Amino acid sequence: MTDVPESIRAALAPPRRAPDRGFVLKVTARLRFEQQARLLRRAALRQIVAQGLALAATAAGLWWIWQAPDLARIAAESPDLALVAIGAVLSATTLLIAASRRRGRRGRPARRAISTT
Amino acid sequence: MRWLSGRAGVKPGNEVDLALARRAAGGDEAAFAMLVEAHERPLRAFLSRQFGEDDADDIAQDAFLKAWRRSASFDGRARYATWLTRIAWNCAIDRRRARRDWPVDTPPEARSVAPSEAGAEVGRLLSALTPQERASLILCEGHGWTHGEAAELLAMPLGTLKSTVARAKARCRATISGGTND
Repeated sequence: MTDVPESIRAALAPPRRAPDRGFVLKVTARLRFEQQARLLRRAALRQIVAQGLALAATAAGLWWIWQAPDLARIAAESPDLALVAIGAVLSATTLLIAASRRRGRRGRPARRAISTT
Repeated sequence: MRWLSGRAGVKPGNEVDLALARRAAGGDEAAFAMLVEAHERPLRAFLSRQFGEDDADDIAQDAFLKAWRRSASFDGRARYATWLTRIAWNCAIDRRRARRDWPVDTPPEARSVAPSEAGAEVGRLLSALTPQERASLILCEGHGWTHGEAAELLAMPLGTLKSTVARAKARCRATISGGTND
C-alpha cells in the first residue's frame, strides 16, 4: 500500500485563507515600477539615436560643404581661417544640441516617485 | 466568456483566466491583479514547501512579473496555475544557476516549519525526499494536479513521474512508520 495518510495530504494542500492583498499590491507595484523603468529606458534610447543621427547629419553636411572648390582653395591658402571657421561651426552645433536637450527636459512631465511598499 | 470556450484548444474551466490574461496582455493591470489574487495562494504554498519560505515569495513575485510580460502567450490549453507554476519553476532554476548556494537540494524542513503538528510532520517527511519526489508529491497529492501536468512541469516522462510519486509515497510511509527506505 503506498497511499499517504489523509492528514498529510491535507497538510500538503494549499492553506485555506483569503487572498493576500499585501502580496498582490507588492506585485502590482513592481509591475508599475518595471513598466516605468522600461518607458524611461526607451525614451533614453530614442534620445541617443536622435542625437546620433543629428551628429551624423551635421558631420555629413560639414564634409559636403568642405568639398566645395572655393572653400578648399580658401583652406589651402589660409589654414588659420579654416581652423577658426571649423571651431565656430562646432561651437554652434554644441550650443544647438545643448539647447535642444534643455528644451526637451523642460517639456517632459515631472517624474513621479515610485514606491514599492 | 462563451466566445472563448468555443475557441479551439481552450480547456473548459480556463475561460475566465484566459479572458483575464488577454486583458492583461493588453495592459490591463486590474485584470492581472485579479489573476495574482486568484493564484498566489497555491503557488506560494507550493514554492514554500519546495524551496522554503524565505525564497518562495521572491520566486513568486518574479514568476508573476514574467507571467505579466508573457500574458499574450497564455492560450488556455493548460490551466493558468500549471502555466504559472512552470514559469515559477524556471525562475527557481535561474536563481539556482545565478546563486551557487541556492539550496534547492536542501530539505526544506528547517526553512519552512509550519506551526501545526501536521505541518511539522510534513516538513519532516518532505525533507526525506529528493526535490523531484517532493515536487511531484506536493502537486499530485496536495494540489490535485494530474500526473500529466506534473510530468510536464518536471520535464519527465509520464511513466517516470508516476513511479516518482509512488516512490515518494512509499518513502513517506516508511518515514511515518519509523523505518528506513534506502
